Amino acid sequence: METTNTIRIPKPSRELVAFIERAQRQKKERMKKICDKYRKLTNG
Amino acid sequence: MESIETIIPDNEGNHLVIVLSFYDDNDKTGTFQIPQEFVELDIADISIDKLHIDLPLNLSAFFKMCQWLIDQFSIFPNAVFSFICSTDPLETHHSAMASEQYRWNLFENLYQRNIPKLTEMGIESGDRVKGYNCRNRRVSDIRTRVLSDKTCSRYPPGYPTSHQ
Repeated sequence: METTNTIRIPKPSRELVAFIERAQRQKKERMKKICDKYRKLTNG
Repeated sequence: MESIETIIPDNEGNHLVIVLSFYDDNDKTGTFQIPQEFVELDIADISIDKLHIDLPLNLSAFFKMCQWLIDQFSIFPNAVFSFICSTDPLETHHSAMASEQYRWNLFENLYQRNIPKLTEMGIESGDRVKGYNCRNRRVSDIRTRVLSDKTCSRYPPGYPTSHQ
């Protein structure tokens, strides 16, 4: 059963690339803080 | 940005950390250009990390993660979920495969395993958007899931949330 549609964007706009890169950066920063918190909790 | 977090042990010393980050109204109307009348729509980005990067992770943690995510899909039936695949390097036994492709294959396989449960919940389709950045040949993927159109409040009474 096909449940997934794929939309390919061979030449994404600068805005889309900038948005994804910014989102990845922010995500990485958020996750670093959260993982640090849990590392302290699980090691403590 | 409001978020929901969980930590899932693999019972072998490592954990998976999973976070749902709900975009705020400014992101929705600004970045996503969603019309004001749909601003109540919840959009949540899924983040997944190993707690200890240098330790292996038992696959059972991924299976538990899928069940936790399915529970969240059920709790927030009117939400859109996205997962932005990381392009960071990753050590695997498949050196010929790009890190993002390895991650994509892993999550695609987990998704395929759970299609029966998702179908039972009324998930009609999943759309994938792939953007290829030709200059440095990186691939960025966004996957969104649009769930059924039942209405629900963002956080049911007593549901644990955190604010960052």
